[in-house]
Amino acid sequence: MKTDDKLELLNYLIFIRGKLQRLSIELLSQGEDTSRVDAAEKKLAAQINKLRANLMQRWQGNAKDVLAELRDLNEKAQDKVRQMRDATNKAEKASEVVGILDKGLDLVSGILA
Amino acid sequence: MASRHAITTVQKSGTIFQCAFECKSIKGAAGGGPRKDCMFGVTGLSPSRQRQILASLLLSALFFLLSACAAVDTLDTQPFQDYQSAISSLKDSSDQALQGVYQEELDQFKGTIGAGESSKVPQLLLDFPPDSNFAWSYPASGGNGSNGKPLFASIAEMRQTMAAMNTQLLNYAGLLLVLAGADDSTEFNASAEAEKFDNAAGELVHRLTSLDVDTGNVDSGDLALFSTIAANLADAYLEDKRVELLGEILNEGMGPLQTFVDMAQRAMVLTAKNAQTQYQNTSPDLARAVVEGSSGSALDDLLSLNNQIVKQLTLYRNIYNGYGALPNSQRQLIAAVKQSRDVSLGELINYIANIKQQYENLNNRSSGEPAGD
Repeated sequence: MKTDDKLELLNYLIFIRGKLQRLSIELLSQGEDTSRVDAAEKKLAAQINKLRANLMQRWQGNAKDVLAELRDLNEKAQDKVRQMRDATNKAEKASEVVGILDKGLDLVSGILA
Repeated sequence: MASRHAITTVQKSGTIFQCAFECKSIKGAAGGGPRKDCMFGVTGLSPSRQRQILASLLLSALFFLLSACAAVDTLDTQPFQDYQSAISSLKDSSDQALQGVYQEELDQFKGTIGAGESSKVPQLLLDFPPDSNFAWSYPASGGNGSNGKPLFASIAEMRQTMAAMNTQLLNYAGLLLVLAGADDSTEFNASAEAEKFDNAAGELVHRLTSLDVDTGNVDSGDLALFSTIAANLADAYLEDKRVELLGEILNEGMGPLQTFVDMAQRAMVLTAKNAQTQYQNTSPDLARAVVEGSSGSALDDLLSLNNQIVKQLTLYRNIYNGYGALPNSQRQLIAAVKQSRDVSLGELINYIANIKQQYENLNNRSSGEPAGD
């Protein structure tokens, strides 16, 4: 059964459990015996707990892959930041600008020659 | 036949200088038509002085041309800051939500054992697998969960994993912010760098002089313009690189982000199912006590419990929607980076504001009526 189907089933079980609980209280207020309804509600509660546990376990299993994907993404992002920092550091090196100045010098020298 | 096309006329020290193109028609070779030969010149000066002025003009022209080319559009980091803050809020609120249902589940577990349901006690005894020195696990069978693990332990595990995933996403958002330029380590201060490089301009004058060039109008001030140009060009280059890298990592993040959002939303749905079940575990006893008149506070307790579950479910829905807004927000960031336009993460920020409001409501348990769905 797919996770979405299990979730849908869980929704219905919770809904039905609520109906049984309301029925039990109505019977009680009318002085009727509630034991059969209460027993059914308890069985249903146990099924709900099993389904909840199963869904959380399945979620946990899928989460491993998602965590791995996110870690991989972060490594890529770290790499981009490194590239950016390297580029910034290079740009800040005076030697690079001196190089540009030298090119300017060549240009001017050529004109003046 | 010569024709002159004046560009500009300047009067300096009583002498009129004129910058102009002078074109002459030159008779062509046999069979060929006349050709025009044009040259740029400055009148009223010696040839060497003309060259000096030309050099100065060239420098100035280059400065205006290049500084115009290097006009830099810097990225607005505020949307990235908002994005990171929103993820941080979602991380905190989902953690608190899971902590709440964990505590409730644990209390109910202890309550059932206290009420004499001893069959659940074996679930609490941990196993230590023989094939590992540090591993531990809950019993493989015999509990009410599929693997014998108590439900509160499953919720605790889920909370831990959600925190780990949220932390990864928060780190990612932090790196986006750094890449966008909020961090000094990737920020290039063009004016400060230009100032530093002005000294290098002095060196250039020195070199010109050593080449036996009469610097004339070309002084260190003119040459310092080059450092400004260089700094502006470097700045423009770095901003291009920033946009490129940021665009790449934003796009690469869309797939993992969507997978994460699906998981986070499912965690919130399961949290809601846990809370509803916990409500159903408690509410019938209170309702029974009201009907039987066995407890004076039962009615108030039931109403308070209703109030509480409504607030919880409203909060979980908002966290669910907040996570759901993340992919669209990231798409807006991508568009903003690509098109250099402003972006507002309004939808996401509204959800976060709602979540904060819901927490205040939830913490104020003693007042207010259930708001309804």
